[in-house]
Amino acid sequence: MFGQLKTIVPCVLALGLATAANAGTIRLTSLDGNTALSGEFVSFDGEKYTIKTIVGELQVDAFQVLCEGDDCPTLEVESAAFGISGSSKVVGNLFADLMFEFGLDIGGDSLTSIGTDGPTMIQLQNELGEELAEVSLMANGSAQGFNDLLSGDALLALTTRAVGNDEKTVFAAAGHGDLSSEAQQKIFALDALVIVTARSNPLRVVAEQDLAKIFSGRVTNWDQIGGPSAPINLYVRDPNSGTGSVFANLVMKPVGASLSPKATILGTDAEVASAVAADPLGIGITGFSDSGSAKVVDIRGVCGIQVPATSFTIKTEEYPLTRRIFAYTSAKDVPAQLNRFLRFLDTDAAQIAVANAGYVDLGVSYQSNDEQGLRYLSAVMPTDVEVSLKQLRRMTGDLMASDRMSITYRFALGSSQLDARARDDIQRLANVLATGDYQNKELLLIGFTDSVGPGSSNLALSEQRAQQVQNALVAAAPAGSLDNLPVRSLGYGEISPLSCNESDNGRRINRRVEVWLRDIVTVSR
Amino acid sequence: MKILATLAGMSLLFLSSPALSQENDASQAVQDWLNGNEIESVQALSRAANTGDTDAQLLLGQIDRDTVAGGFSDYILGLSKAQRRELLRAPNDKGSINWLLALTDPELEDLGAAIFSYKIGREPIWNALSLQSTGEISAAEFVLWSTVNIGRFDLVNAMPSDSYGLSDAGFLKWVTTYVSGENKALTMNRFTKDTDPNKVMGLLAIKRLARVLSLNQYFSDEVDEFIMVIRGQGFDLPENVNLVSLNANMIKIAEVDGPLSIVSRFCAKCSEDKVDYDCMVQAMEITNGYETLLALRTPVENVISAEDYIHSERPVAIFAQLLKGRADYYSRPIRSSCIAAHIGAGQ
Repeated sequence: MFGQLKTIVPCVLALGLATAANAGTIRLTSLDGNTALSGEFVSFDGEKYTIKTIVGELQVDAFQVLCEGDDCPTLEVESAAFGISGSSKVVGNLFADLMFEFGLDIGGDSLTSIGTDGPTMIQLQNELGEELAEVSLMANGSAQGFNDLLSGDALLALTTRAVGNDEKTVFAAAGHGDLSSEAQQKIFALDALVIVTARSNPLRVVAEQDLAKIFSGRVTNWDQIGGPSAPINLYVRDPNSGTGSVFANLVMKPVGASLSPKATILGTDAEVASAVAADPLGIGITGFSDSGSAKVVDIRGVCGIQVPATSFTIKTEEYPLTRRIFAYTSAKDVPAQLNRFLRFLDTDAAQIAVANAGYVDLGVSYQSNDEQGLRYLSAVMPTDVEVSLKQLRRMTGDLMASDRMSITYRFALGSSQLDARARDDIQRLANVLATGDYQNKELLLIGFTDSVGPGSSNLALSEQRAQQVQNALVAAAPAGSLDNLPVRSLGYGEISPLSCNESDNGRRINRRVEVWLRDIVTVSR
Repeated sequence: MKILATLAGMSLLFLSSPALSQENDASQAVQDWLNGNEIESVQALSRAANTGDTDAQLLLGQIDRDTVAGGFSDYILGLSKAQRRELLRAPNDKGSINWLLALTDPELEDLGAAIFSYKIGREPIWNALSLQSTGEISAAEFVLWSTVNIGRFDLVNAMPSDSYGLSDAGFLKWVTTYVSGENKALTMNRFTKDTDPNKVMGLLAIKRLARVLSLNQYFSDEVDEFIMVIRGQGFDLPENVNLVSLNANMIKIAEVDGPLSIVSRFCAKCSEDKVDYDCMVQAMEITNGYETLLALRTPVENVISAEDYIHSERPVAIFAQLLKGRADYYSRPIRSSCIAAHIGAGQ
């Protein structure tokens, strides 16, 4: 499909990247003609010119300027046409919006043409109206996204699940590199699986251990889970879809359950939500961003902890069925415009578009200690947690007059290494802190663990993890950028679980380092 | 001690020549002009100029040439053509001529011509170099800064290497330090602690280039709000802006930034019982921002140093007049009680 695309889009690519320095003068004029710089040409890396000027070396965004002068790097015009394939809603809706915002961000435009029997095409233009790239959007599901990336029909795969181990092996064998590496995997949004019923259904909460029973067909009547006597109608996605796959991995597989053959399988998350909303006896699994007019039901863990699906609990990944939205590239070919677009995904403009499309963005949100009631309920509910009143009192004292940031660091399973999202979030937090104007604040990095092992060891482990995050943060922050904000790392061990420790997923949620901004209260003399 | 000083002063008075006395008169007139006694001081300057005092000639020449920097005031603007010619200009066979072109001392001819003819146009650098070479540093730096702020960094960068150190202009040095630093983040915390008097000029210059240099991500929201105000676009501030902290930061920055101190001192005259958080913000809006403040620099650095001028009452008085004059063309409601009272007074 991709091979048939007409290559009409000129894109400037440079020959001889990282050109060696010489002393020739070049002039760089912004595309709108309003800004002109000049200087001795130093180098060009394909995306930025480095010039030597009277104020030192400047790095100029090559996509925003025209270069004049004998020493300008030799350029050639090539077509930049590429495909993006993956999750139907992510590609079809969110990425169309993101491309539009990207067009605005670069001062240009994006023109969308919806094909009747082909993919949606987006032409990306710079501010002179010149075409930079032609992008085909193929909304065929996460699994097909990986297939298209493997075959070369797409240069970007957008999926609602992480690449599987078997898939990683196939990609590596085909010369596409390590798909789970930092360079090729990017998390740019969050979503969650939610349990939905019709609004007329009286059920408000469902027990975590009943989910697998309901969707495998072992529980078939509403009266078995506290409702009226009536059969349960199931609505789900295909097990190969991102939604189906994440649900199977988080809920069904851990207890060895498989999907009931009586379940109605639908093509999109939105169709599941619509079908359930129209059926008072229906229950379904869909995406948080697609729940529409259906009612979202809370999930109660086996230990009694009950976490509602909200933007904040999804950002912190404390809602148990949170899922990450991934972008994967091949190691073989990433056009400059695609690289530029991937960088754009980290900007505020892109993250606002993510939120507007119904997903949960990665921007930092704050929640005050007053809104952290769940933390204290969860500390006393589970019976497996070693917690004393003294410890709770100490934690409460530390968190008083504090706001929790939604950034939460988690560690790869069985490892002291920060996981994929955490690595990105270290830089995200460093940037937020560097450009934040904090007055009378201190930053607390607070480690917590699961309940495995003795409480005293967990206390030490939590302190160690918090210190590890502090070290990574200090290393990532530009020199001097944290001068106005004292940073402290603390550990409270296992005393504040936010999910039940009985399951792998629950323990993963509890092994975390939270980020808090605390007011430094000065008492007048 | 006091008696001795008085005796010394008296003996100097007896020994001084008529020329020295004239010089003292001119100096006193300059001080009077700086401190607000405009009518008598301009008349005294006129008398001194006509008797050959070059300081008075330079100052009057600039007041005549440059309405904003030199003499924007009701008094000057209210002069008739004949009065103006009589008071501010040198007589010649065609009627009158600007004093800058008729300086008594032939050695100052280049200086007069440089001040008289400078302008910011397509090739402003030569004007800047010419001003700089005659000791008019602040005017030269203003030309450079304006050139960057109209997007022509290329012209500034292309200054001849023998540019008499103009590339050491304060704001360019601030930009150099910023560019070479590892920490690109610009927060209000950092900016208010910076004691460089050229930091506001530098900040505006770097903001002008921020898009092509991909630097916008490093500006904190508070700094962006400050830039909005300083550009005279306070009306675009977000609804949730913290005016209390913005105002406090502007006052703090004004402690080291001469041009901004003009606005700060103007607004301070009103704040007796309560702080008027909108005064500085709206004053910048009405007067079109920082570039106007930079135009309120010493008319002739050779006569009045940039430092003395900026800390005198003269630029505050000119600013007050300017504010009143431009308020007539300002269509938005007046939010500041201080400005409202100022505009209302005398109407």
